[in-house]
Amino acid sequence: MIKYIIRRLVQSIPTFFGITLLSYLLLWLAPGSVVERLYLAPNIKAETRARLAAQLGIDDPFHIQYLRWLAGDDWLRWDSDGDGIADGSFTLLAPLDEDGDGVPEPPGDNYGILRGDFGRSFVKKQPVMEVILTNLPATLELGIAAILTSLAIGIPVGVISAVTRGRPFDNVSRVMAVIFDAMPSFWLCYILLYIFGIRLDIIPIGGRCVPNLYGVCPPLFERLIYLPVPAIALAAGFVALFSRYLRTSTLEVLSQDYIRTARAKGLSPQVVNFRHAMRNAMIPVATLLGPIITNLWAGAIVIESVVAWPGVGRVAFNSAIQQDYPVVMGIVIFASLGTILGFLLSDILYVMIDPRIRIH
Amino acid sequence: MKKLASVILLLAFLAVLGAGASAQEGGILIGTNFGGDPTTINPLLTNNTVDLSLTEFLFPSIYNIDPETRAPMKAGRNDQDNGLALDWTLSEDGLTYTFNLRDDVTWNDGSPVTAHDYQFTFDALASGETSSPRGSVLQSVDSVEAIDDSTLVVNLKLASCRALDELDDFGILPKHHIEALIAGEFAEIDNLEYNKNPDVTSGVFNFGALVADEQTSMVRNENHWMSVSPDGYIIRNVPDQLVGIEQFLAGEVNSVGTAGSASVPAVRMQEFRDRAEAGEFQVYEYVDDGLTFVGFNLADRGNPVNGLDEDGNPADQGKHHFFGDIRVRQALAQAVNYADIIEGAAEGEGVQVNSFGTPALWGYDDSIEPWQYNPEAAVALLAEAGFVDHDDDPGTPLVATEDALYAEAGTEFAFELLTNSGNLVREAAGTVIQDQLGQIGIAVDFQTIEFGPLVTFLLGQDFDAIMIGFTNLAQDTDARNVFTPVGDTVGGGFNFVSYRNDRVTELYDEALSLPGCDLSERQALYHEISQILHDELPWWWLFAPFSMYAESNDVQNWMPYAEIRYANMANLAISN
Repeated sequence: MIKYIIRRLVQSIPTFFGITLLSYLLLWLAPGSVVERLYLAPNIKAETRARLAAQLGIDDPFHIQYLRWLAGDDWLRWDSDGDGIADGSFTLLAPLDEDGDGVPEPPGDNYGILRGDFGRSFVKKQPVMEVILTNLPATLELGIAAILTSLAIGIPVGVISAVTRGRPFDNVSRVMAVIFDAMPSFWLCYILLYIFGIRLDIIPIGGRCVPNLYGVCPPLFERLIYLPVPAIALAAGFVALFSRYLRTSTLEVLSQDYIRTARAKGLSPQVVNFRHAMRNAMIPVATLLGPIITNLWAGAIVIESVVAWPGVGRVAFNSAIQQDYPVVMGIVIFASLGTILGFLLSDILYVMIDPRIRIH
Repeated sequence: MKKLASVILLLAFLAVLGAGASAQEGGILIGTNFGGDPTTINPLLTNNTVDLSLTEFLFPSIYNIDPETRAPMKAGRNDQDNGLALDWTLSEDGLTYTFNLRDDVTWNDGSPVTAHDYQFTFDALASGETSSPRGSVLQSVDSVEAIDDSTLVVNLKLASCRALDELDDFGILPKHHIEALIAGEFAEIDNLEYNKNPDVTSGVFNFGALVADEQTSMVRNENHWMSVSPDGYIIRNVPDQLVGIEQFLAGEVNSVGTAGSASVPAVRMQEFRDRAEAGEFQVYEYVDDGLTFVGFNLADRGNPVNGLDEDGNPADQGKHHFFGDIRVRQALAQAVNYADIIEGAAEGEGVQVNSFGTPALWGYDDSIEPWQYNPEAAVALLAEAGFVDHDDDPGTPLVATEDALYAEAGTEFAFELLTNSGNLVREAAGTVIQDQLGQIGIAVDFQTIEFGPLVTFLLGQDFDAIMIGFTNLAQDTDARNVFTPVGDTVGGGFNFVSYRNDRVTELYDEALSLPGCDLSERQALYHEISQILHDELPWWWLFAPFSMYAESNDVQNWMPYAEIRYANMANLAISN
């Protein structure tokens, strides 16, 4: 198993670099820049914008920007005597005095993601890791709540649908699954806010904590009231997915000989359905983990913006709009790693749930 | 009778007590902001309304703005201004301002706010080492010198009537505090923790906390000379305007939007008016200081070049095949019904503008008659310009004849109109324009594209016509960078339509350097510019939207002005 995991991780390295290269290229190809986004006004001179672009390094060619992000730029132009002025450079890529004004360009001070430096946000002027980690707990909170909600509803609905195949519960649940699968999560979010927040006035309209002067957010159990709307909106699609998968796989399992044997032995339907059938029917569900993590990121981007939930999805959305490359790339890395690890975990769970499967 | 009188007196006494209790000290002002987190709370680096909605309450300024006239106001005029300058004088040659600053204002760590603080902040800006975008002041100011703690001398490069406005372009940093943090390197200002957590400030509030994507708070500065009543001010970050509005209606926040920005959306204004009349809450309406327009590319789109060559002489930029001819622009200006545009795009919540600026600004000339809908006159003018209906089929575009000045004969009158996607107002306005121009035989290829590409086309001068908006316009409508060749630089300049009229350039120069800077004389010059811009239509003047603030009834003594939500913070009281 360990060998398998290591092999899979090694195999994912080129995938990971491919993702970063393509993502950076796409961002670079997008017209406009963060400077034009933030500083586009008649009273800000074009020279000022050019100076700001140079400070951020976004006027450099693509390969320099990508290299700087990936491997840093302290090796491109360095200051060996510590006087703050560059005195050496990797001339081929970064001449010491690139603009020919007789003054050396500043020495590089980025280490690149390969050395754990994700850079600084162009907009927030903070380290990217700090930006992401600040908002990560909120997204994890929402994501875990959404997965638990979807499992708690999707699994029993799927199993009961299979057991009651063709009866009203099965028919209704299948129709509902199609509806919830097709329903845009943001729209469901608005509907839930309208019903429970505006009409019934029993939940707050968006947010994650009660506003307070010192910015203190109480523990989760003291503010659970903020969670249901975004969690349900995010979970709706997963409920449909889980219930449909479970229904199909349970039906398959129920036709197996060992289930007939269990019934013949006189076991109660509950024991047969939930202990014997459901465990085996769960195997395909494990394979959903990878895609679900990806979908969680995507869903969070929309839901968090609607309900003012301060998660990474909000950061991703705002950073993409503002062309804040370092933050977008940081989130791409998180999302890629999450997806790669999610798929790996799916495979491992598959083996753990089904003893018939062996890894070679 | 005595008993009755006693009861009445007692009731009156209780009523007074009750009134007193409702305006008690304390309470928290809670607003919403639809624009995201502040990017910085350092007044030298700020560049958006979100940042400014905080710094205006945290940092002193060289002078305050009179909320009524929006002109610089001297300190001490009333108890509500927070500017430092008690008085100022301008030398006879118009090149030196001398400010006399008040000496009783302190930072919240007890240090005095002095002229040295202003000089330090200006020097940091002038060094060019920070990422501050607030460099417009450097166009006219040469140097700043603190003679002593309360005397500040500003030396101008040239006599400029806008210099005074520009001196207030940034808030003032605490020199003693920042200097200790940056060790003489102004570049370090960009990286200070202070930018997100300004611990030394001098406003009516102290900084509270910034919780990313959630809220920013300020806490009452007990030691500020202008003591305010609210315990603090929280600005919630609510990206979805619809959700923000509902939070207000549900009583979760006190106001819609934050100081100086974020209006009630046009589609909800009538509802808000009605509900305010019914006493549910308070509203304040005004004409926004921004306008929506269509910029016509007047030069050859295929070969964009700067307005001035390397020697500073006018360059040959060619002419746009349609919009290079003023008659075509004037025809278009009469081919659409502005009431339809304002109704369709802004729910009727706006006013047609006649030239650059809006009625909210003193440089705006109300007496100029805006362009009126007159399709017959438009068709006649197009025919005169050489564009005719060659097949009597209203479904096909007009074509150019030999009489057309810049279009080849046989060219169909079809052009591309761009705007940014996601802006529902502009998308609706563009659709109305497309429809109504189509009725007189002009085919408009209306495209909504993402803002980034739009800016690239705009600044690259690679477009036929583009619809955008300008906000936060200067009071005097000075727009040298927008309507003179100085701003006509491909890739960065704001005269992206390549407009040039030597008289306009001359008038802008004159209005800027007028000896004495008399307001009414400058106004006359700007009015003449407005008339020319109205007639020549480098931009197609559309409309200025209405803005509306809404405040809950909890907020007492609320006195807003255009772009200034809380003009009387000193007297504001929160009842709950």
